Amino acid sequence: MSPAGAPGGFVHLHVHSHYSLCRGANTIADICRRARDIGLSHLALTDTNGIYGLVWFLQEARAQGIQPLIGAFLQHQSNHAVMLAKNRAGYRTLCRTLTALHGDDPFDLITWLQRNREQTILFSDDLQLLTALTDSGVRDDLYAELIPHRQRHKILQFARERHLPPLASQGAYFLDRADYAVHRLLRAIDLNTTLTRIPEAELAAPQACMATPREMQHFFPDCPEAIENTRKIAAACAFDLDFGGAIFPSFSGPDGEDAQTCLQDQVEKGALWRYDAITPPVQQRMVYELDLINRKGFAPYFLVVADAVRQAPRTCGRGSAAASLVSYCLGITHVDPIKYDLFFERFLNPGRIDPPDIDVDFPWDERDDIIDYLFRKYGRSCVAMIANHNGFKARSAVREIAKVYGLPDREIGLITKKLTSYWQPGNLEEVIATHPVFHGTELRPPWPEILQMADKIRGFPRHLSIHCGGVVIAPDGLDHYCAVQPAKKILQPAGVLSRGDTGLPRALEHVQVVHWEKDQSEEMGLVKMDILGNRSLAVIRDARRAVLDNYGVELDFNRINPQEDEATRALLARGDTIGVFYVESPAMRQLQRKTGKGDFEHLVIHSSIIRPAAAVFIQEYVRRLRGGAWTPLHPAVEELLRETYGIMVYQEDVSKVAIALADFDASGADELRKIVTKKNKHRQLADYKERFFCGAMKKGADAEMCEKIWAMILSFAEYSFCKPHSASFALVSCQSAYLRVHYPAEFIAAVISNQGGYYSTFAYVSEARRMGLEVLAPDINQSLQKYTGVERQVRVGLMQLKGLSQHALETVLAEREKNGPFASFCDFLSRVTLDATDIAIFIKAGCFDILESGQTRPQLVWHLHGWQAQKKALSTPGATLSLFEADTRTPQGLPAPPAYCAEQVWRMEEEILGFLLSQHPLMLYTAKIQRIPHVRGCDLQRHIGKRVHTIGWLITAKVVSTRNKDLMEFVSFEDTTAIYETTFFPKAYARFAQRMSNDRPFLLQGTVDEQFGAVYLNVEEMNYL
Amino acid sequence: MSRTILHIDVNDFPVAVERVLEPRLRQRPVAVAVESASRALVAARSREAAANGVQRGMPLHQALKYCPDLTVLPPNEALYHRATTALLHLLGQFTPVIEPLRFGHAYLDLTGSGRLFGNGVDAAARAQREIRDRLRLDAVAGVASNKLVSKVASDVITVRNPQTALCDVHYGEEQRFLAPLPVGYLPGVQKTIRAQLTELNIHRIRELAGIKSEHLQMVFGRFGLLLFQRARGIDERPVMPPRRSPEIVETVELADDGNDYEALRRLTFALLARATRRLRRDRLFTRHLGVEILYGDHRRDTAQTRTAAAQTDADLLAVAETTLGKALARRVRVRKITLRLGGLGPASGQLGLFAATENPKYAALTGAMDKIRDRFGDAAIRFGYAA
Repeated sequence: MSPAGAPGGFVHLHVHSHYSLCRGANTIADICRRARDIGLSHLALTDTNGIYGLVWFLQEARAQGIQPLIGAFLQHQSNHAVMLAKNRAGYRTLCRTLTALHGDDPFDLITWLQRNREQTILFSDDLQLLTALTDSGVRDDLYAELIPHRQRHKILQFARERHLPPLASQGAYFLDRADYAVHRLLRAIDLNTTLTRIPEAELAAPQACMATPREMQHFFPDCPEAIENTRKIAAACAFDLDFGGAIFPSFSGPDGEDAQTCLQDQVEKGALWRYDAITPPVQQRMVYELDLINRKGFAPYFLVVADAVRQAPRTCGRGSAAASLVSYCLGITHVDPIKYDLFFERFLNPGRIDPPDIDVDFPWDERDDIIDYLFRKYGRSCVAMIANHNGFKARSAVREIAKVYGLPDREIGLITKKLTSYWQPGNLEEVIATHPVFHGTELRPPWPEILQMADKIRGFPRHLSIHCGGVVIAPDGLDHYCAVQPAKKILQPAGVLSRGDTGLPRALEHVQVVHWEKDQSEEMGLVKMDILGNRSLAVIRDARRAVLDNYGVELDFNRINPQEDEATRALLARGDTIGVFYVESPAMRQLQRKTGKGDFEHLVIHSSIIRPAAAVFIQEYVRRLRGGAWTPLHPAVEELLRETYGIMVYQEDVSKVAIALADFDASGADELRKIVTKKNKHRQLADYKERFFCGAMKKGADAEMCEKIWAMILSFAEYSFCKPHSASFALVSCQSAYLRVHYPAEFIAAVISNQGGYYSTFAYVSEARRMGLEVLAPDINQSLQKYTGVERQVRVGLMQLKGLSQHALETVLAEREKNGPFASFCDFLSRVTLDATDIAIFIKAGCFDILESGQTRPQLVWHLHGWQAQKKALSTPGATLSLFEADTRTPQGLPAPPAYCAEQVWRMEEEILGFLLSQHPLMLYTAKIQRIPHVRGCDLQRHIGKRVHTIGWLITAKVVSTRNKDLMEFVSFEDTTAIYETTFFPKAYARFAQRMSNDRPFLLQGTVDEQFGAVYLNVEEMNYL
Repeated sequence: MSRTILHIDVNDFPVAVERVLEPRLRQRPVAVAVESASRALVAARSREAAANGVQRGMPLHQALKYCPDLTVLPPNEALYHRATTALLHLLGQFTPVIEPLRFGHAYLDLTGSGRLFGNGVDAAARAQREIRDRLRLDAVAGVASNKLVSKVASDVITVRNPQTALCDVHYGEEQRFLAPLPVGYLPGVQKTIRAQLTELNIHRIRELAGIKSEHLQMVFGRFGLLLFQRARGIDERPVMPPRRSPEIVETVELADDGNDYEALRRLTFALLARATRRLRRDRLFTRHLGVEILYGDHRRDTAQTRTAAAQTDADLLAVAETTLGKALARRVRVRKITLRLGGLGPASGQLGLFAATENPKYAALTGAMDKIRDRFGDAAIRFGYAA
């Protein structure tokens, strides 16, 4: 039953919000408020070709006491019509129609509507469409739409001739006439044109605003039934859309068992695989979890995730799901929740209403296969990815509007470059007038107007893209729940080593997305499964594979426990971890070094404390860990926080402390944890604070202590990890550390090959050298596509050759695979047909240096030209076969230039590989460096407290702001002996920030400082070498 | 008989000309660039700026990083035009055979002028003196037996020998003069060709001259032959005075940059009215209408349309509008509109004074409008447009 009772007066049935992408000029909230103000009992939202904002509309309308009506404005080529759903079945028709409109090719709106109208109402002022529909006998639930400013008399006449009922409508794209300017602007942005060149057909009329029912009645003195009909339709279309709980795929076992039995069976088998013997705590936990899962009906969801995970040999279940024994036994997660005491209620608790959320990392290059698998297994009609609604943000709004106004890029850039987070709605002009970064920026016309408009369209959605990994699966077809549309997605290259293909990007494939983004999907109960890509899993996979190939050693991390491996622990304790998952950033390596702890338990703490929420406590943590005295926050939490030295490190520590200190129940504590991280939380949070203080005081905490603990809780508003997540990550860290310490060549080769690490390829190559590995140049017979490592050598892969075509790479590898190595340059030329530019790249990269050691590279280039000329001559008519045979012999009489000079070789390395391979770039400055007295990177710890000079090549840098909002920077430099960390305090940063670059060496001067064993250089002077 | 070719080059011409007007710019790092463009490139720079690492074609923001006290001037093409005209006028007294290149560059063929001005070197020195005395500009000069070598000679001064002003390469010495120079000195050896030569480990003209013609042709095709000749200092191209095709050009600069299409259309029609009036005055017909748009960020777009022979604006209104529409490819505000009528000539063959497409009514109307404009000015009467 509608909340507003029977519809009265007039009902707007054709209204566009800003979810009519780049068309509607007002938000859903504004529209609903206006509808209430003008006394509407019902309201339809009919966005163009989508239900992108439907869920928010349902909520807003109900909040305003208005019955929402569900529909969409269908526009395809020259035809258009509005479709309203009468009930769930009609909603399904609507979803199917939208899906077909976006996805079917060819699609014809008229033909479609002739066949697909079940339980919907259609109206339109498109005479071609109305004629065609009435001609084919469609009469029921079809109306002629009379819009006052759009030839409504002609349409009324048509309606009377054809005996179609008329319907009064306004086709509203904005609330007030003043908003017409916003509409026009959006159209100009969308069509990439100026305000004065928008084709008329692309614009709504200036009158298309949301008139009051009275005004509407005035427009139709001659046709009261048109007004009456809006009420009729509204009454017919009033229904509440509710899917009744969480939506996830149904699952039945191979022999048709139900999901619960199936899950129990799998978990029990899994427990035997995970544990040698099922101990009472395991048994107890298993029963508890299974019971809760079954009561909530989540069994199928777990089975579906487990099934997806089984498709890949190596995964990392992340997030709170790792706290679950069921996930652990199903192989979704890999950390023993009992051994590491992981807090299950953070994942599921009896009071939690929303569905669980399991996120799983897959090797980045296998992720798309998994998504592909889900599409195949459950069918395209049941699977889609979650959408992202990309909207106008401060900068993009200003930029796009300024472009419509015709301002040159540079002028736009002057303003947008400086616009960041300062901008709150409505204060843009003020910010520009007062903020120091805008000092001296004058806002001449049309800038004030642009900024005003930017405020109006900020946050408006502009187009859809794909959520990074969220997949939804509907048991009985997605069209019951939401419309779907295709989104282009580039599939990532697949791994070479695991599959034997060449690992190149595969063709574009159309992936489909639902019309809703994450929040709306969740609101409607669509349970998403996050399939995420992780590079380090691929690194581990590739390195293990290489170890097997090179030494026949099968590394099974179920049997080998890297956490117990002394060498691995020592490596982690030294922070010698470049390339190691999650522990490779300078901050993390410093923390490892300061604590000197390489065990798993501490690694779990460190992975979490490094996040912004707890990072402020790092100093205190290290002090306590190294034996500094500390007292617990409160006796009630002493035990709870003992393992983290009395510091709240994990997300769920918030809930745990609330439970222990203030007597919260599990779900209340979990709510508190969630609210702390939300943005606009002040009102809700106040209640929780009161509850917390009350509870804590009862336990004997005084106000001061409460404030202190509460402040700690609030610090978790920043991003943080929960312990299960940290532990999952630490597990991967340990495995990669194990590989690094025992199989350095294979490991570093895999790190570089999978790219996307924290450092540049150059930095990893340098690191490889420091690890005592020899880095070998690419070779036409030795190099694979990826980097390869064996023993103490790493060979550059052909993937590193910039500008080399995919085709050339594939051809060479395939030919070598098929017919063996190339015997000579001539042999190479005769066996593969490649573009000359590709061959030149091979030559210049030195790929033939070993094969053709008698010829210089420029000689080979001549040879290549000669061969090309011959081939060209042969292709002209009259060439004979004997000439063809001469083709591959070394041509005589070609110029024989000497080898490139060293400098040219370096330049070519820079050009083709992107870094200097034959030596460290600092070696180019040897003469200069020798003249300057300086301290080597590896010797810095022997000069603590002293002022020294160092030579450095910039590796990575991170700017942070101090408590006083001054900027400072942590910069890692390296020389030929070590990477070392430096600090540029605000003064130094201000002086030298402009100078930072990673393509030339620097001479640094500063004081060496030490903190808990980690050495820094506080830079005071910085000059180009 | 050997020729005597002089290449005159006023280095950094835009900067040099600005300095004549504004002596305070002397001895300071100066660059010419469009500051309002997003990726402004340095169009010209002074020697002082070059010493700080500022190069032609470098993004302005980078130039400012290298040389923070750089004075940036906007391009002033009208000024450079005036200065070039003056320069060419002055050079015209030495020989009628002048080929102007870009602003501030010209080839002179002095072969026949020996009687009047002495040998090439004397004439060049005199030309330089007069340019300095009368225009207050410093020019370098290369004298040689062909265009190629005279150009390289003046470039060598610019790059390597700024103290001298004149380089004279005797007939027969061309190859020896070129041999030690890097290949980049040869005209046409730009980025791509140079990269190819580098691949072949050829860096100096001497090395290039050592390669057989057929080998060069193997790599560079037809250009290989040219390279072969140029490396030896051979260049037969004559000095070619410019030939200009007649056209009628009308330009309007907007008071404020704008992208209101209606306003732009109005301005274009006004240009058309002025241009067609000139047509009629000269009793010519146009067959070719072009519109050039100069945007606020100094980029340009152009479009052309061919038409039947026409003489009145009424006949060309539609053509002008579509051409404007085609030219207006960007949204950026427009600074200047230029309208060109080309393909000028009498009406074709037997069709009489007016082309067949012309409406005689328009002819009468146009005649009447012209009379009114003659008496009361251009703005007195114009076409109006019903939407």
